[in-house]
Amino acid sequence: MTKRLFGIILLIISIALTVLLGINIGSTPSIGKLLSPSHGFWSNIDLHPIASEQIEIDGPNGKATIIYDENHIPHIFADNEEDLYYAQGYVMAKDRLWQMEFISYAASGRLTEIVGVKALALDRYHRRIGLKKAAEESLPILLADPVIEKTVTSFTKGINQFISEAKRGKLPIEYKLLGYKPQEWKPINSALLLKYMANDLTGTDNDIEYTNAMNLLGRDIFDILYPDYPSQPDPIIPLETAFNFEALPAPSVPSKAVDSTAPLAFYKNPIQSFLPQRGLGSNNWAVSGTKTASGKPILCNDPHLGLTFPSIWYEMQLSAPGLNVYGVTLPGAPGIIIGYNEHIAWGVTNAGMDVRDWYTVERKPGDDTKYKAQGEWKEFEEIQETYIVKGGKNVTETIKWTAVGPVVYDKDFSERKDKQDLTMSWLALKGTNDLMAFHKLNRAKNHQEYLEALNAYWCPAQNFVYADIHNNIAIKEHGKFWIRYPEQGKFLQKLTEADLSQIENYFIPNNQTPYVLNPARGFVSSANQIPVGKNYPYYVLGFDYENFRNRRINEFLAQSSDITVDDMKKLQYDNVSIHAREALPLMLPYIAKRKSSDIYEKLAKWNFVTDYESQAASYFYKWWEYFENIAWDELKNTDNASFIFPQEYTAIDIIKNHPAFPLFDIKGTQKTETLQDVLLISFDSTVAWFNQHPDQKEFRFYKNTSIKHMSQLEAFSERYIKIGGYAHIVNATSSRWGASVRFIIDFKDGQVQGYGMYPGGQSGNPGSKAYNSFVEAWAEGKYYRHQFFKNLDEAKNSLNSTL
Amino acid sequence: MKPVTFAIQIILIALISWGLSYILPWWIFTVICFISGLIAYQSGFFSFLTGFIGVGLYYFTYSSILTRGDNFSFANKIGEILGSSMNAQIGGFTLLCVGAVLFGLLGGFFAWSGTLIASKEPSNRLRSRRGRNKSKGLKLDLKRYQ
Repeated sequence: MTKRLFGIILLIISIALTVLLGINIGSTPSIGKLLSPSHGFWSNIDLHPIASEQIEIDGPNGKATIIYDENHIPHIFADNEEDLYYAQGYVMAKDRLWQMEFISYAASGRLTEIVGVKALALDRYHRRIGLKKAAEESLPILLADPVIEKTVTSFTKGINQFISEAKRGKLPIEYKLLGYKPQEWKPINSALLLKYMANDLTGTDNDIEYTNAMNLLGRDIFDILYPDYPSQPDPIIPLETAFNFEALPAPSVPSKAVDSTAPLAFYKNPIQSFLPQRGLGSNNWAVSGTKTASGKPILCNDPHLGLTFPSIWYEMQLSAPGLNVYGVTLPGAPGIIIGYNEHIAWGVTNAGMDVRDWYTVERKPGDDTKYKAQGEWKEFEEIQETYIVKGGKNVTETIKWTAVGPVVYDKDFSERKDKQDLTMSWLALKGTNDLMAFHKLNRAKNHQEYLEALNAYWCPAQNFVYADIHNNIAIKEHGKFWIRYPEQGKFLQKLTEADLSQIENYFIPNNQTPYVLNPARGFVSSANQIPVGKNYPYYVLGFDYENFRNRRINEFLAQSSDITVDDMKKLQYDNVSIHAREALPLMLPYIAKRKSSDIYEKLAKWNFVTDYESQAASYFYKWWEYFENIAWDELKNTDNASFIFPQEYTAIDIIKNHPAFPLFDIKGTQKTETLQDVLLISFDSTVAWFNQHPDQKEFRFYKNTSIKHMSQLEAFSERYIKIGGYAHIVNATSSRWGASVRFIIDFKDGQVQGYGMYPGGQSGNPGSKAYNSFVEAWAEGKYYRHQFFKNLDEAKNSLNSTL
Repeated sequence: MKPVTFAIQIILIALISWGLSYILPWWIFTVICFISGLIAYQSGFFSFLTGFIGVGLYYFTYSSILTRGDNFSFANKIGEILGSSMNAQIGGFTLLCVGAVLFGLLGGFFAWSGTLIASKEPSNRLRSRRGRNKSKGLKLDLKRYQ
């Protein structure tokens, strides 16, 4: 009897232990499940070599054949588009399911459901800037278009087919580590992804920072620090280009427009820590046949984005009757975003035009539900938002919307004492059908169809570079842009003075956005710089215009002739720092008394090439960082106000032309410091820093280029990658940013041949060889040759020849 | 202990745990061990051993097969992630051993509890046989002291 009792007690204890191991406790996942050989992490180890293979899947109408090439890039062939997009959704989910779903959680402000309360601030930010609402408004527009509806629906079905298989079999490791399961994929997730990218690319502006600087420093100094136009412009549209169209009139300046000298309060931007970093950007260019060895165009593109695992891009070929396109797309979006077909190639860089404005809100005294706009009291739209917090209590808040957009911060989301409401108007928040532009680009046969495709495009505005087999090259900065009066949107505005119909629909017409076809210089290019010269009839306001990379690219292309693909590879991997080339010769003479220092000597001899082994590069950038922080000490963020440093190219102008600039004086010291003092102090600090950190002299260790897993798990990330380059350099590889893909498309012999490489791998599974298979070659500036098959037979032949 | 049935039982636990884990939840091996304990021939401690060794064997062998060729690189990463919360460095092979022991212990406990619960059931063929053996021994002892 006692034995039996003991047996029952032991059984109960054993069951309790098993249950304990089987459930998620807080953020700790089920250990039992995670360690299980058949269900846990062991089963995520994928020992398949990366090799060609063929699979077939049943689509809604028939079969789709998928040929994976030796880089695990799928080439999908189907008899109709429903099967094609079904298969695209399926293979994408197979490699990237967790990533796709994770981004939709992030965009809709639902990360707390997966990782708990630590994501609450980020979730609140994403909901308060309105990404979820924007996606919800885009969805009916996407689905109202029969072509896009068919595409998105088939794509969604394919993803869900894979999800149901994965739930029965192997889930990606991240689900196991975070202890949750994928939900059914919905078309809104694709809309969310596009809005998430719009935030990544246009979710920045300087309204609050500029207003603070204006109030602190006054107009004269402000204009030197933050000019609208760089002193050495090299815009996307060549300066000599004429704009032969009749421009719409600029809106009239309101009677009480932003008086930036008025004593506005200091606004701290509480969301600054979530904003995309400065210095991200992209390059693209196309060279006409007059400058290439083959006599046919070459098109190049390398978008610079955050370096993440799984990689931001997924590469594939899509082929069905009437369509054959190759390129990369964002996991979760149907079609191809950057790529080429048998007739044309296109690429994108981010347009730096400011499409986000902030307005102060005046509430009705004694009635919190109303605000003033257009001379009358209007009712706020109130949206109740609930955050489901894993392992915690749900959080609810009400977000108010004005006629122009969300009140992003108010008394509930502000660190400011006087709780001023600020509402935001942002073109990314429109319900739009941007997918249609890509749908049409995928099928475009000539430059007319390319222009037509772009008409559907709204936000994030891009510089769409173009080349075709007919020897045309072109570039167009396209998206929706407000027509503004001068300086509109540069500072905080008053909602009471805003013209709501202007904000709602007064845009630069589609055929008047900056554009050039076959310019005389034989090439087109963009690198996030200002798009146009002063002869463009509209006021242009940027939030972060580049002015180094663009000049390096243009000087390289202008000097080159008989250009080959190898030359283009060199340019995409170019590590020359124009920033250093222009700044150092101005800086070194001021510190001549430090000539004997080893660091001075290395800098004086430096050729401005930022290879990963360079020590001079580390010295220069550290020195510059100290210089900026000491020179612009007035512009450091305080508890009450946020600021932004001037651009590096503006700083160089100031060193050159305003050596007695008042800001060089260091706040809080008795002495009145000069430029020389600032340069000496910052240089000495640099020397001291490297004495303390001798292991960071090599540029690779100084800048620490890393590719981070999206969940921030270090074990799935890579650090200290052996690659040169930095911000404002063509090979723009800084610590966390870099070329997210490098594409070169050659039209030699009237054929289309692509070359590419990206920092990651096709698979999102950290247990697969294809997770990071491209990283080393990417860091070395190597490329693989794209296999763009004409048809299924050619693909099968290629498969057989490699087997 | 009966060496032959002991070995057969271990192998059966390992094989069935492995086979059923494909279609049933991760904890299915605990049920197998419990049933095995109920019907099997071993006494207390050896019953525990059948579960412990059987499940450990399944875990160790199968996981080793899954990670062959990858040289524990993925298991090392998981070890790093699991260890980071405890500020410890857990290697992939350690993780394999920890998993095998943990799963083995569970298997052992379930097998043992099965045996204990079955021990007083008169209808149980195995228990009654063991009971006979015991009474024989008692008789011998009695003879000695008579």
